[in-house]
Amino acid sequence: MKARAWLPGFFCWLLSCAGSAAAHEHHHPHHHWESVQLRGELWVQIWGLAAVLVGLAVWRMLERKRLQGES
Amino acid sequence: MNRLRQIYAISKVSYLENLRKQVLQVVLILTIAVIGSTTLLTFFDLGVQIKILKDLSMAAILLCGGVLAVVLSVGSIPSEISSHTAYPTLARAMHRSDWVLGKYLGTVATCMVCMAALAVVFVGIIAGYTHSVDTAVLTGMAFVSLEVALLAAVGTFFSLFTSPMVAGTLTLAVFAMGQIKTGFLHAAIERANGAASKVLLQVFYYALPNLDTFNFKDALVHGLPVPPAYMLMVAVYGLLYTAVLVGVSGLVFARRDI
Repeated sequence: MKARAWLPGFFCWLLSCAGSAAAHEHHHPHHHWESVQLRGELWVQIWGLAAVLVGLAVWRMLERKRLQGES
Repeated sequence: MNRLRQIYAISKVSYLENLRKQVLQVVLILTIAVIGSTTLLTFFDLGVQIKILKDLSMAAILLCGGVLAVVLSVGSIPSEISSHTAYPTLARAMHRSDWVLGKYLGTVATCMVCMAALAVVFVGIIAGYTHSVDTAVLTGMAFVSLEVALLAAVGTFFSLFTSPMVAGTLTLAVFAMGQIKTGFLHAAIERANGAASKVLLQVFYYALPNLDTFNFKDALVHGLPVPPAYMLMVAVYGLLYTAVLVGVSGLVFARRDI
């Protein structure tokens, strides 16, 4: 019964995604790997994510040192 | 080494648990039916039929992986907490972030196994028509897998803050917005009147994962060349985004009072 209850939802989701994709395709007929602007945005995101990752590592290291100091 | 063994044990248990879920079997059977139904389109030329087969199958595999990533990732951690089965494991000398990583890897492994099974069906049907194996399919599948892994990380992250239902809805929203981000949000930024709303939309734009970049379906269907440097850039982007989300999830869970 549970599995059957998922079916209409799955198909609705399938249709909505197809609609979104079709709308996107209509507005942007060019392939994304040809867009210079998108490549620039990706670089910004990559550097931002790398900075966050380094920040997380440093924070974790400091936290571990603090806990070691407390014990 | 001990930590790796612990992470492996958690992910293995999580993977075996996921395999028993009914939703997995239903989604898998439905997707195989969608892929198999393309063989019925015999009224098209063979070339057109293969293009439709590639297009539809890649979309179906992405949807299957997406649904599985959302459903499995948002329920994985909260169900263990609510049923108290996580407590004996967490009481042992193991990092909580390792436990989150193990649960995440178990979810991703389940999605990958299902997608690999679908890929075998997909490649098998194409090979049946063309009598050769299309290697571009494997590249396309690799990026779809990366997208699904990222989505599972988003689901795991949201599941630490809210109920599985809300986390699932939020993850689905990220999935949908990530697909139409460049087309929809970019236009919204250009149309925004106030400076504050423009900045807010820009922050939202850069914070959202750009899931459309993982889509190489057009290249696969029409045989278009994609620069390897761009593919490498997208792969690095996906891995970094996933690593950040899993890292933050680990930190959040480590500080949580359970």
